[in-house]
This record gives sequence, structure tokens and C-alpha cells, in this order.
Amino acid sequence: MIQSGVAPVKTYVSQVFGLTIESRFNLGLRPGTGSSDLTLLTGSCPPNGSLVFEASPPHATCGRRTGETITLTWPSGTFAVTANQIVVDAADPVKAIDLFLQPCLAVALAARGTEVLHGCAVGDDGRAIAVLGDSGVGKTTAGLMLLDRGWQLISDDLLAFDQAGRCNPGPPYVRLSPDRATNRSGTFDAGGKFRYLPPSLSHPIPLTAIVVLADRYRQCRLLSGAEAFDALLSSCYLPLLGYPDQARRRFDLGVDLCQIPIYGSPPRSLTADLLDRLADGDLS
Amino acid sequence: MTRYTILPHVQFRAVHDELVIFDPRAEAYLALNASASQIWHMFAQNLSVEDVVDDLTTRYELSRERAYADVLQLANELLERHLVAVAD
Repeated sequence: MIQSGVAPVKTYVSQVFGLTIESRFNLGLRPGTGSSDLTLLTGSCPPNGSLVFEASPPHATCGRRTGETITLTWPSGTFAVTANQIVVDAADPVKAIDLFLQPCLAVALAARGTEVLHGCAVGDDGRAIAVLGDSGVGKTTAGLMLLDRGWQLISDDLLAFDQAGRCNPGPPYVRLSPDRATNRSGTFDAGGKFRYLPPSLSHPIPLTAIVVLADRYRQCRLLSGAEAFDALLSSCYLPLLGYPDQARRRFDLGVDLCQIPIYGSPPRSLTADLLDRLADGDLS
Repeated sequence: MTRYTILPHVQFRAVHDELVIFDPRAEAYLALNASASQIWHMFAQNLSVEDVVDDLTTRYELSRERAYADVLQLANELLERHLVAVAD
């Protein structure tokens, strides 16, 4: 029986990066079931604690730590993140969530013992390739080239791996600037980006190749073990946040991923044909 | 005969024919190229610097001076990073 005067609050249960998230906001993720690993709610988040990292514009943010809570601050919102809760403190929480859900999930995953990389991953018929690198090097563009060839999205922006080293599916959308929305299916989000909804994978998949885009590579080539390890660790989404064993987990992830071919290539240098061959381990 | 011993807390794993090293105390990583990895493995086998130099000059076309300089350069970097110590 519903009590008089108390409006029932709809709750959305979503699935992303192997986590079940409960929220009163529709996050635009795949529907989930079962008990939640992570709850997203609104509340007050005073930006207290010791500074653990600071980023410069255009990605202006800082992270502060108090106990197990990392507080992430942007001009339009503050988020207090633990292993099982994200509290949003913003005048427009829907917009703030649209803009900053991924970095908050990255912190929550780190708190839960999962290290994450900055990249875009797509898969097709048993093959899966991830493109890593800093912002603006062409990760999403490379992923779109393969999506336009019928590949399926695994995750864009944030890559998280399960215990078996498989890449976990992220949000089922790619956030694009409005000028790239032409002829693509999707909707605009509160953050002003176009959420392109390509066909996507809903289960974890092992990567068959990784390409790291960076200025230090003069042409596309297979990296040696040491180079590959350095390239992977320089593609971590977050700085170390001081969680127990976090540095060791990052080391283990780097070593494990080095078992597949890792290529280095200059920014914005990839073509769909080249990516297709690299996913097969073919650089001829 | 100088020997270097790898400190017990240091972890290392092979990636192809190279090596990556993790120092959990400093939360720091180091990736070694193939030749440096070979020297590391010889340190791990408790070979002296002279033995390592002998091995390198036998295996590669390297002068003894060059091999000695390479081994000492790596050893000094590893000492500075607190990954190895001079063995007693």
C-alpha cells in the first residue's frame, strides 16, 4: 500500500562495466537485474580532504580524499565516490551526470579493485581491438571507422577489464559533438553531446590487439614488451589514488595485456583497413 | 668481485624477451629493454659484474670497456631506484 502524501520514486537498475547500478536517474545504460553494486544519489558533497590529483583546463577537475571517499570537483558539480556509492551535488544533477559519469565510475571501479584505461574498444566476430591515448588523438574516431563497418561497440572513453582480462562492456553509446551526429541514430544528452547508439556487445570479450596513439611514434609498429608496458601504463584513466594494492593491480594489468599485440601509432593516423588488419595481428 | 642482489620486495615479470619491474614500496615501475633484461637476469643468478661482462662480450661484438660501462650504468640506475643492493 502506498502511504498518503509520499510519492513513489522510480528506481532504475542499470548494468555497466560488470557493475549493477541503482539510481533514480535514467542513466541511458543497459537495464540490469539483481542487487546493486553501486548506488547513485544526490546529496551534499563538501570538497574536503587531501588533494590527490588536479587536472588543467579544459578537463578542469580535482580529486580530494577523505578516508575511503574521493571527492571529484568540476565547475558544474561535485561528486563523492566510494566503492559502492556516488553522491552528486549539482544544481543540474542530470547534466552533471551526463558530463561526468565516466570519471566517477572510474574512481568507483578503482575503489573496487579494477584499474581502467583511457580508450575506445570495438569488437567483431571474435576479434576486439582497443585504441588508447590522450584526449584528442583519435580514439573515438578510430572506433567509429570500425563501427561504420558493422563492428560492435564494447566501450568508449573508459575501458575496464574483468578478472579473466576480458574487456567489460561500457555504456552502449558514444558521446559525439553535435557536428558528428549526421546519419547516426541516437539522442542529445543534457550535456549537449549526441549519444550515438551503435550496435554494441553486452558481454565481456578478450581483446585481440591494442593500438596506442601518441606523438612519440613516427609510424604504426609493433611495440616491444617494455615499450608496450610503458604505453599501457601511460594510458591509465586516473592517477594512482592510494587504494591498497592499486599500483600492483596496475602492474598486473599491464603485464597481462602485454600478452596480446600492442601497436604504437601517431595520433589520427589510423584507417579502417589498418585497424581491421591490426585486430588480426597483421601489420604487413 | 662486485655482485648485485635484487632486493626481496622487488617483483619482476617477463614480457616477451624484456622485463618489467615493480617496486611496491615506491609504487614505481621500470621497463627494461632486452639487453638490460639480460643483465638483470644475470644479477638475479648472483653473477659478478666481471662474469656479466664476460658473458656480454662473448655473446655480442662488444668491447670489454663498453660492456663494463653498460653494466655499471644499469647497476647504478637500479641502485638509485632501490631495486638492487651491492651484495656482501
